[in-house]
Amino acid sequence: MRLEELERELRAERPEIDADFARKLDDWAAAGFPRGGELGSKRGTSVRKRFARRRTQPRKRPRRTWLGTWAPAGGVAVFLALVVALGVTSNSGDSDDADSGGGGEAAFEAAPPAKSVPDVGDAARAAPEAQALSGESARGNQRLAAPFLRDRGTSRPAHGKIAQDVNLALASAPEDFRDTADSVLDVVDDHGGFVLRSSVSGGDPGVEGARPGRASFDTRIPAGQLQPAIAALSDLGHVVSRTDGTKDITNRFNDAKRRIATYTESRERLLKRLEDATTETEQDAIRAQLRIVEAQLADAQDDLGNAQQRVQLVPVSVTVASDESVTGSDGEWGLGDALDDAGQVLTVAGGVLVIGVAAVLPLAILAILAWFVADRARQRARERTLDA
Amino acid sequence: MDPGDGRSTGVNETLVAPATHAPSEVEAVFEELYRSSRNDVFAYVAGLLRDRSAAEDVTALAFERAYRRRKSFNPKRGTRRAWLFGIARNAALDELRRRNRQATLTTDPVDEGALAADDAAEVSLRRAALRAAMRELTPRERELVALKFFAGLANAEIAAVIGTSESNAGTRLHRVLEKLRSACDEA
Repeated sequence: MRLEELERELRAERPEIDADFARKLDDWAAAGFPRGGELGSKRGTSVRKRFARRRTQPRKRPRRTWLGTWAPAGGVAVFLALVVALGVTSNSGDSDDADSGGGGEAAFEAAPPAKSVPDVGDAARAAPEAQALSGESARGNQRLAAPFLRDRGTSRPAHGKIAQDVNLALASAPEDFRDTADSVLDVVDDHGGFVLRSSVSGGDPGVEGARPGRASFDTRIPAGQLQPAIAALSDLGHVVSRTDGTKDITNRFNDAKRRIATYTESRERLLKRLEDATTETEQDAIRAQLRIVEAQLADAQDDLGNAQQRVQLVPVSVTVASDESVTGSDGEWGLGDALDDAGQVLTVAGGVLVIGVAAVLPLAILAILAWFVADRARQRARERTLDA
Repeated sequence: MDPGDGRSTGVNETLVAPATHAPSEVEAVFEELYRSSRNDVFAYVAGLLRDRSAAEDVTALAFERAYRRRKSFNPKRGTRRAWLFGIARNAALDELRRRNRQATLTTDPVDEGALAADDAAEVSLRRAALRAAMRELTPRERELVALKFFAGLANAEIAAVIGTSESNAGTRLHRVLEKLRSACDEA
């Protein structure tokens, strides 16, 4: 048979469409292929199923292929694994913070209430209370510094005593200067601290030609309240500068403890010798030595108390200066405030949007990936049908 | 003021001519595609499935799917006919997968009585041999025959439908024809 003849014969073998079916299909097409009806597919129902009654040949139950059986389950498993992995990753970071934060909270609670410290006065008056701190409290102090140091990214010795200090310079509008200065006292008081020294000058409201206001405060804030106190102070005005310092006073601390142990031992030894002394002269000599040792012991205890106090109470120096360039709150809500508020709203909305996108994007990528993989798998399965 | 000034009087009925539905360009193009391809799609699917009833189902399903996706057609990826046959092919292969069996030829037998008496014997023999040879083809080979000779697709369109190059499609088609010819000659 020649090729042309073969092609002609093949064309002659072309299956012709049934006239009745063609008419129904035309009607359906003219109606825009609506769902339902004789030919239109319903949701979840294939045309084939609705034509099943027309078939005389019973159909086999579709055999599920290995891929068809396990691909969806595998996809779900991979998705869950990814979600769990992401969750574990994020939780591990959170738990680290939570553990540390929890320790910090515990440390804050361990600190004795600083309200017992006089509001205004010299440090020496607070020293005896600091001396009364137990060893447990001292360990608490050790942890007190941790959150602050972690926030600042500084390192500290594993069992060291860290003394912190903060210098904060604020600027306020001239009309707000007095309020700002007063608020510093309130913030310090609210956070269990006290003011060692304060100085306020100038900035008198309503006084023509008054000198620019300037105030300085030398305060002590409990280490556990340092961060919220600094945050509250920073909110009082425009932060011109902030300086955070830390100093390792572990040696000073250990030295004081060692001296206390040594002098205590010497004192006990002298007291025993005093009991055993038989002569007046010998007793006087021992008493003289005892007075010296007790004085040295008191000095060492003072040093230890001061060291503990230095760790527990953080020196915070705050200065407030009136500045014409700083916009004040005149009590009236104006266009500038509206713009500021609008900017903040937009910032928050943008942040929410970014977070939303960040949350949805991985899921969308996974969904697209899963769809792509499923589509490829389905196409391969189709091709395999032809090779069967 | 005379209320009748400038106004129609005695009007108690309004005639509104309904606007005729003007099909969009996409729909017009699809309609043309449907009319030009309806029989070809059925012939291709029936040739592949070898089951007229199933071919009708799949043809209807293919056109329905194509209609729903008519706006997603991308001319850069081939002709409309190739796109339509791609949809029909997927539907047919899904049907084959569901059945998971070789379809039996259930096309209507040729009305041999319509042939001239002199030609009947020769034609009958030739076609019987051809049908026997076609039954021996693999589904992939049968698909090529269906696309080329039942649906009337050009080699380029066949290549687009089955996802290969035009030359490869032509080569494979030639092999199938050689296989059929040798099978017919041996019969």
